[in-house]
Amino acid sequence: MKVSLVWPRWDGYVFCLRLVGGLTLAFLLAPIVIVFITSFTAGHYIAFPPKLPLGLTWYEEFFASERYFGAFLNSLLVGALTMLLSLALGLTAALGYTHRRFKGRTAVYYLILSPFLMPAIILGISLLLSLGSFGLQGSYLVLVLAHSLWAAPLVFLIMVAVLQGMDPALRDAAMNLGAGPVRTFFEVTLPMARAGVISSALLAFVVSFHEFAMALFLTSPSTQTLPVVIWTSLRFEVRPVIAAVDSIMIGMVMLTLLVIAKLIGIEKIRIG
Amino acid sequence: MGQLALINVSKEFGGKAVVKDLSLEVEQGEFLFVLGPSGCGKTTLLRMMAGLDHPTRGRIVLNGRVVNGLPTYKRNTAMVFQSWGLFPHKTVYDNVAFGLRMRGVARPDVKSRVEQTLHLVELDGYQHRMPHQLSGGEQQRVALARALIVEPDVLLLDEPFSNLDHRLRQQMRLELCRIQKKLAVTSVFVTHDPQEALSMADRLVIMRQGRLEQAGTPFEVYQHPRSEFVAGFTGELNLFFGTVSGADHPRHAVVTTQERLSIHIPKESVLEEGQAVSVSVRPAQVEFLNGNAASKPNAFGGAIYHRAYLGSAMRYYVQLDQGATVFVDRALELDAAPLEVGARVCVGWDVDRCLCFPKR
Amino acid sequence: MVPAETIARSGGEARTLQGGWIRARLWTGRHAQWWLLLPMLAFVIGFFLLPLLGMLTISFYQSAPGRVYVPQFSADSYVRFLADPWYWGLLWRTIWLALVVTAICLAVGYPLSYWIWRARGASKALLMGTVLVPLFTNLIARLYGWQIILSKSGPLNFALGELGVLDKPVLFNYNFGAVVVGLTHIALPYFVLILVSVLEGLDRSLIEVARNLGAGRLRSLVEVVLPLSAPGLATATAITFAWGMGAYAEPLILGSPREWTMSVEAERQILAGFDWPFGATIAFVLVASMLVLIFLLIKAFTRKGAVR
Repeated sequence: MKVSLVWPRWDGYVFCLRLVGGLTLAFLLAPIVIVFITSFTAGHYIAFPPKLPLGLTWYEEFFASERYFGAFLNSLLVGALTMLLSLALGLTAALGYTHRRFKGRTAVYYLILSPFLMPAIILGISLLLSLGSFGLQGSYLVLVLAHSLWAAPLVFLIMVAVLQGMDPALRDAAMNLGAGPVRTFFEVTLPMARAGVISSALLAFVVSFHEFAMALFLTSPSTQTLPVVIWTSLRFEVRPVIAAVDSIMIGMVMLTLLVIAKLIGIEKIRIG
Repeated sequence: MGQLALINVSKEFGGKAVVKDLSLEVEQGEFLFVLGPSGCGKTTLLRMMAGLDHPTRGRIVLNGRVVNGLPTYKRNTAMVFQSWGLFPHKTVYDNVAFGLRMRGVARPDVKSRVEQTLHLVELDGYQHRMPHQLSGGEQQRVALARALIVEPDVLLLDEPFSNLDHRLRQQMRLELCRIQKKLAVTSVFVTHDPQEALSMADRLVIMRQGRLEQAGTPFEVYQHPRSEFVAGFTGELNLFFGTVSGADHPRHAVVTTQERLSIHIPKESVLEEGQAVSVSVRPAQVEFLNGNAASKPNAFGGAIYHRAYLGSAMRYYVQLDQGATVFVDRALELDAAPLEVGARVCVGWDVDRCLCFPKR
Repeated sequence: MVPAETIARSGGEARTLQGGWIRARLWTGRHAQWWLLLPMLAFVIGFFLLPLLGMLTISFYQSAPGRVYVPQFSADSYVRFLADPWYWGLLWRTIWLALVVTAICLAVGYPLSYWIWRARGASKALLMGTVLVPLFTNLIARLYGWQIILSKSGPLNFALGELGVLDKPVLFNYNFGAVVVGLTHIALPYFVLILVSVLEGLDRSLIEVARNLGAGRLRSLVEVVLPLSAPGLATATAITFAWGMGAYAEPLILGSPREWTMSVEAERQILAGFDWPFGATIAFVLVASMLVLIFLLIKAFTRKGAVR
């Protein structure tokens, strides 16, 4: 045993740890709270503290506005389609990946996850440049494809973790008792992985719903999603309706997260 | 005519051979055991019988039909897994009925057959429970019921009792034998526990590193092992190494061990003078000959240096004068009081109790 | 062992069986998994790798005023980029921003992840939830929130004014610090999420073992947990750095033109300037430098006392 420095046996470092952690959490939540509060302002400008009396005027304006509400619907549509595509791709890939060990499996894993590494901008640019010449720019399709580049690997990641946590004997038993591969999937694999499927589907939706950079490059005025509309509004006008929109989006996310947390323990997501 | 036959079956995983050129046959209604240490390939063998894996070479014949490559869901085999593999999201009823549903059996028939099978495994009334609500033994029986209900050509069991505690295991062994005999279903049971295999099997097969070492009834395998490995695996042994030194005696040959013991062995077993061999004798077959040293040709003096209480017997560890150690299992009823550590004894055994194998 | 009749009756090698033989082969064959992997792989190759290649190709095309590009080979864009020190400066500023943010994430994110990992039950769920909420909140919303907080009439100035630290409001926005704050805010949840998931994969009892052998809490952290989590830490750092280099909205919303990054410039060239080749060049240089730096980063991590 080599001679080592005397480490401080001072457990007060735990307190420091908690302090840093606590401050960080406050840091993470601050802007969200601020936006939420200002969305209720009675004034016509963004300011903090918000002008009293607090009310729902800006929320009403949001639902009334064709521009904002239309973008909201666009986001929902793109989100839903992304969710479906990512599920289809990610789920089948996860099934293939966990079927058995095979040569090149690690390479496949990293290949599937590689789009994740890329900043959204790069994905947006490359798709615009390549598919723009096909006239797909501004269509819902290309945006769904772009969002799926992030969402599908995410679904894959989660489903692989879920499937690998399952006892392989279950699949073997089902097949041994006479269920073909497809039947086994629907009778045994899917019901047991249900929580994971729902969670990853919701995650895919949320990722798409909030995505900004790719949407900026790939949408046209008619297909603009909510983040893009907020962005352009921000540059020209600074009205509280934007805060209301943001708060609505935040609210939807909270709901989704609650559902996910209920269904699947957060510890179950692993990477690598 | 056998119901299941494996002919020169080999299995390789990525260049590594796990089962090597193995042939065996299982008779109709027979309870066959595959016994071997961990990693010997027995589970792979079982999986190939089930159709979960397929042989790299050789043939598997089920009911006279070659079934290589036929996937498990097209064969009429049923397997009980080591972890039981009960579907956690289905009730006991749905678990047991699963195989029948896959075969398209009509609903009312399913119901009565499930009831019958649950009665067979003594789980009447458990239909609506969920697996997580059951104890280990109960889950075990559900797994068995699930397999039996489809009336498989061959029932395959992969160490199904390894997760149970000792007493439950004994109980389940008895029950399984009873059921197997009653239904007369051809069964193959894989285990690493020699006690399990010896006590339950009609016939057993010893596997080692992918190969078949010996096949026979439990009696044959235990009393007449054909190799040192089989002898050592099926029971405890006192093991000596030496060379054949004399073949003059009419009925015995003599082996001189490393510790300079002269052990007499049956002449049939011997080969040539000077050959390196291992000689062994089971602890239960070593006797104390105090005072009667001449009664057996294999008699040696020594002193007890340790003893271990085995419940129904006492194991005495004897240090022979020549330096070798021998352990003797002796039923406690045979003596008024157990022998003391330090006591001088004379141990010996019959010549034909010796097992002698050439040293590889 | 096996009677000759059985062998003879089985008639040699397996013959074709009824019906689903081919389908069965599909599922049990040696390459079954590739059929399932095909859609995803085709997707990734077709819509990710190929477009990247396309982008690379376009970067080698000729720029043309009035048209998006002319499909003719030309290295002009690259020359234009590499010869101009301003662009080198742009690249450096982008890298520097990413480095700073990554460093902060490491310093702050690791303790937070450790805390979450050691937490149990309700408090753990709460902590994780708090970290996840920003992750799924709109990017713009959050940056917008920071703009409010840091503005002259915002809460920060308000608080500092009340505490007597400042006599009059200071503009905290539109500078490097603001961009760092915003970018850290975006990157930190991802970092923590990845790190926590890596830590979850570690054996909890290792800490107990270390403590049992006499190590204090700090020491068991440094000598046991840190080296074991190093590979995962490398991954989290790499991803954070990559996204940091691709920062787009943060510099635009919270920074002045001095803080604008490569991504901003690429967007300007493509969407505003319609100079696709040059924009593609900028994007490609960004990707290339990102990959090189990540490679070096991971190398550094796995060398530096990690159990590999």
